[in-house]
Amino acid sequence: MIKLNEKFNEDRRDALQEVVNIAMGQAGDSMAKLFDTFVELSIPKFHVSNIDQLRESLAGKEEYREKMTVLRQPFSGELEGEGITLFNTSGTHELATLMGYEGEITLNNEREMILDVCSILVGACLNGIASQLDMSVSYTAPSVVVANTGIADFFTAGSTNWSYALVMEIRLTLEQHSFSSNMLLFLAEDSFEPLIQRLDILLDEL
Amino acid sequence: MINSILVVDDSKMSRKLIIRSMPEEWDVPIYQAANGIEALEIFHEKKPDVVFLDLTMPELDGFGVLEALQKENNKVPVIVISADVQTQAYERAITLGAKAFIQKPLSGDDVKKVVQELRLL
Repeated sequence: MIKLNEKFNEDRRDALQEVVNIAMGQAGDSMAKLFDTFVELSIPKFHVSNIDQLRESLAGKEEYREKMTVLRQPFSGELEGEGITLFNTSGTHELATLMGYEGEITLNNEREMILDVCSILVGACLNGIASQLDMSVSYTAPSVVVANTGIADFFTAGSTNWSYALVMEIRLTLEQHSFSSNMLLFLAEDSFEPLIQRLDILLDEL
Repeated sequence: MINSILVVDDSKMSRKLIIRSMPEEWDVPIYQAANGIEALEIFHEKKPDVVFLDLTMPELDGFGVLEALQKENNKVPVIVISADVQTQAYERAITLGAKAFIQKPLSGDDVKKVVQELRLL
């Protein structure tokens, strides 16, 4: 683990943060157009983590304490891993209004909406990363892992299939709305070397 | 006449890219800041003639810097260079006094074109 953190040294982290920042800008723009409102984007955070460390880290954060619905979207190719999107339950109920739905909203409708938003977020972000680094990525359809529950249930659901990963954490909030979303991108170990190579190419070009 | 420049971005890589994209004619001191607080300190101390400003930064973001400069009735041109490509971000930056908005990733002569448009050469 220490060696891996060393591999993602300061320059590489800086380069990756900028790449993700640009990718998230595209994702934020897609969301802004979808919801017709300004999307506030956090600065991406990175850490190499195993599943226990991640569980502990998230449990200690305020934004992960409310009830949420957690979706998972695996991706593969030169970039391999999974995108985990977390929607706060209170904000999820607001999605229908934001997306212009009228009339009664069923649980199925609500689920369809968050699956769509998950796809847009994960897709825009990963496409942005992959295109800047000239890497390939393809997606599997997203699915709901747990609904309207605490983050701990996501981990006990046992849906993750990695021992440790490069975790990228990004938060989006909508101005003047209760809706918010946290996205965690888990990059699997097999992606580390190709990713580092591409980051070094970027850095060498400076 | 440009005598010094301030580049504000939390990414070292991005600051390097912005500096590399500047017109060759600008052989002047370039100051760098990694967040909005640092940016305002350097702005007041060094009095640069043009500012390149990122929006998404820790401590104080680019909007905060623009607000602070607007309150001071700043006349120094601020060029926003941001990955936040939302229309609302552009409109907010311009309303707060930015003279131009360049979208990241920087490509080709983006910076030089804007500099020429603003007649800063």
